[in-house]
Amino acid sequence: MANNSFLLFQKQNTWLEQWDPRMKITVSLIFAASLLLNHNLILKTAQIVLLIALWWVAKLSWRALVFTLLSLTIFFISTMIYRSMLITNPGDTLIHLGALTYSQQGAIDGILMCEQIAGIVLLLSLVVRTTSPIILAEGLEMILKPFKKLRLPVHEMVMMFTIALRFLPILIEEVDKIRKAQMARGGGFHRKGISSRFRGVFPMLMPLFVLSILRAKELAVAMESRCYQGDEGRTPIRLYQMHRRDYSVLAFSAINLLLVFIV
Amino acid sequence: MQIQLSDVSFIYEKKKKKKASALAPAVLKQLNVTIHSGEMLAIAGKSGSGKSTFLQLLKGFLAPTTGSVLLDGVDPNTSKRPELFDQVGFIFQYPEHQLFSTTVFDDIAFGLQSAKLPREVVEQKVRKAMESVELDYEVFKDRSPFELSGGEKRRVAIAGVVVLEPKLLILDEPTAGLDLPSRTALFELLHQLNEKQGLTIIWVSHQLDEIVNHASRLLALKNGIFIADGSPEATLSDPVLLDAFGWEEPSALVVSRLLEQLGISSGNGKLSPEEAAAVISTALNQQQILAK
Amino acid sequence: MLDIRNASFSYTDWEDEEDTLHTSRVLHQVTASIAANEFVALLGRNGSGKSSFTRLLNGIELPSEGTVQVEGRFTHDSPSLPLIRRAVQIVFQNPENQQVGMTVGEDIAFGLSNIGYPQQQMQERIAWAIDLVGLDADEDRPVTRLSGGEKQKLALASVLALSPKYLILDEATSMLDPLARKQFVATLHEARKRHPFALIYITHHLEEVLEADRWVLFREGRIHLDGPPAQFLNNEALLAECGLELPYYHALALALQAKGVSVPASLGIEELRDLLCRFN
Repeated sequence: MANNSFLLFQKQNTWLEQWDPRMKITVSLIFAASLLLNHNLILKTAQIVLLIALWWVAKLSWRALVFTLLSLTIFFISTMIYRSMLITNPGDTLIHLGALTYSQQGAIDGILMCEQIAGIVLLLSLVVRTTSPIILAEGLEMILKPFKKLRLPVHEMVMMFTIALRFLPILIEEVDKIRKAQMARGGGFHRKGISSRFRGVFPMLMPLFVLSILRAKELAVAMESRCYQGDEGRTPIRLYQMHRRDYSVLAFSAINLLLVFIV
Repeated sequence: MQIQLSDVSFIYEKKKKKKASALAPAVLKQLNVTIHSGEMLAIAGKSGSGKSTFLQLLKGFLAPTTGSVLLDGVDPNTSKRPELFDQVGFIFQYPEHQLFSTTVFDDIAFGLQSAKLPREVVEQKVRKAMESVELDYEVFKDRSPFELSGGEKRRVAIAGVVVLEPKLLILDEPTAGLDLPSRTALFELLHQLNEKQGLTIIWVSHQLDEIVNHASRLLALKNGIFIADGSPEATLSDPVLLDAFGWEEPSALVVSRLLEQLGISSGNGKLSPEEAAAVISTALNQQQILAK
Repeated sequence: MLDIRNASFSYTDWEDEEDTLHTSRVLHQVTASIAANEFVALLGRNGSGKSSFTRLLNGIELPSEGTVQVEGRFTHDSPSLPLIRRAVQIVFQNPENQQVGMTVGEDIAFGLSNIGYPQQQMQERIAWAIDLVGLDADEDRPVTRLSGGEKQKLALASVLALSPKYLILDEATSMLDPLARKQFVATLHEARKRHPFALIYITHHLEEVLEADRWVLFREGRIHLDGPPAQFLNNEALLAECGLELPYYHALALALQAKGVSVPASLGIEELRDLLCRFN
């Protein structure tokens, strides 16, 4: 629970937070595409460096960056091991890395693959860490607006998502409370064997379920009382406007994508 | 049961968090306090004052950062005997929210399951627990706890803790959400548990009247320190303390003090309206007789 | 005016094997009216029907018999509902279950957005509402960082932003500690002075509603008594039966009167001192 603040968005008013959410989502998609299509070692490394630079611009903690990358170690290692097994051109110069042997192309492919994984994860965490979830959801709602004509409940989905987000900390607290309450009257079941602990699961889930339904009912009445009736006639809470900044970022990411095709 | 806290501090490691939430531990500073067997102890303090942390230390949900918590002279934390905390019954706010079984009997018997007792013993214990919270065994045992009234549900939840025969009972705002008749009945019950079964009772309360009427001792917690410890009558008439909490002195204490100041004897320092009226009318009658 | 005529209300509880509906009736033939700017207290034990009664007032629930009219509009006439809801707002008991926004500003904006409040004026209105309830927090403060009292003030700000003509408080103070409760009540009356609205106040604490124009006592789904507080204050037995306790000095005054001592009903510590010193 204490880690929540470490993993999620915290308002710092940096440059990246000011981007229009629609543009941020679009640009991220373009950037992800260019990462995936890019097979040039130098360009891909440059893209990773760019992401790390943005991390710095966003004033995100370096510890979080290291933590993010370290958590991917297992993917890096397995990718590299996998690549060492595929020696495509037997005539190639061989590179020995400890117990592993690579063809030159194999080594490059391996590094490219690792960079790809790292790049996508960094990109995703940059977006999540520099955008309030509500703004992200609203951006998504605006982008998906055309699908409303296809009777896709875009607004409802986004509303559900934001409410889930709003109630997450409350539910986490509730789980803690119910767990302790059942332990307090459980005759020490939590200290005994697995079967005994297993018996404690239902007594925790059932109250959580009942309480969540009660909360949902109360919230529904409260929302309706406050004149909520779907997205009909609602004014948007925030007005989003594209600025020059957003267009230049878009232009930059387009160039980035083009570059991938040229190289 | 006697509980002794010596030099207990509790520090929450993550300094980032600015405000403690309802259950996230707050900071306690160098607490020294002894709670004697058989006390009816009320604890008061705003949310975030460390009340919840303090109570969770007594139940072993949290371990002190420094200092020791002794239950009957033994520290369960350092002596690696966490089962000693089982002697402490802990009843959270709105305990009826933790009910889960299809029958009242099963819900109350939940804590006895892991002890693997014979069926008759379980039945006997549940019966006794239900009697002590004044729920008729035959009437209620097969009913669903979810169809009971608010006050009854709370009794079932309390029975689920009492059935484990704790020596200390901790309750977090036991009367929250109950109306007056249910509140009165609940306190009658707590007094009975206290007097007949010798249970030490510690409860958190925001209601000053409740504290004056039912507590034998009041601990007032502010910013992790006990700023008052004594009889409710003495603490709740102390202007400095009242001011620190933004409380108003309970009327029962104000009137009793007035009567005392005027030399009209007052019994226990916390006269109920009826008692005060009796004292006042007697005094007035005597004065009238004297005047004649 | 709020006008409730012969309104009954029942919940459908469950169906048995023969598909017969079992309903529990929570309101029987209730008739009452609440005028503009009136302060009315709804009293009674848990389950006496007072909460269900308030659910009828803004059309969240419709009466199974009888009618409810808000400013001349019937709640069963669904096109009127948006206007009715806007005029009748509710602050509920648990602040956590009535807040939709992640931050103070977002939560106030939720209601405004629902009624189609002009976007350009929204920020101004949010600031106005925060100021009205004296909430010591800017609009970017996450609701999770508010204390219980602050959360309930936010709930008040969020509904007052919609300029309701009737405000229902459904045990809105019952989860607050005495200090927060005192502050909340003070804020409420201050706001009402600046922007008058009718107040419909459910509580178990009589001292919060001594100033009310009328008390309405619910008992087993019916209105048992409806009149000025003075009509109730000398009937301690009835109040006790309905789970209500007289404030200390009122109880003392009654007890003294019963013993033949003549004291006013609104007794205070000073009056008591005078009474006792008269002979000394």
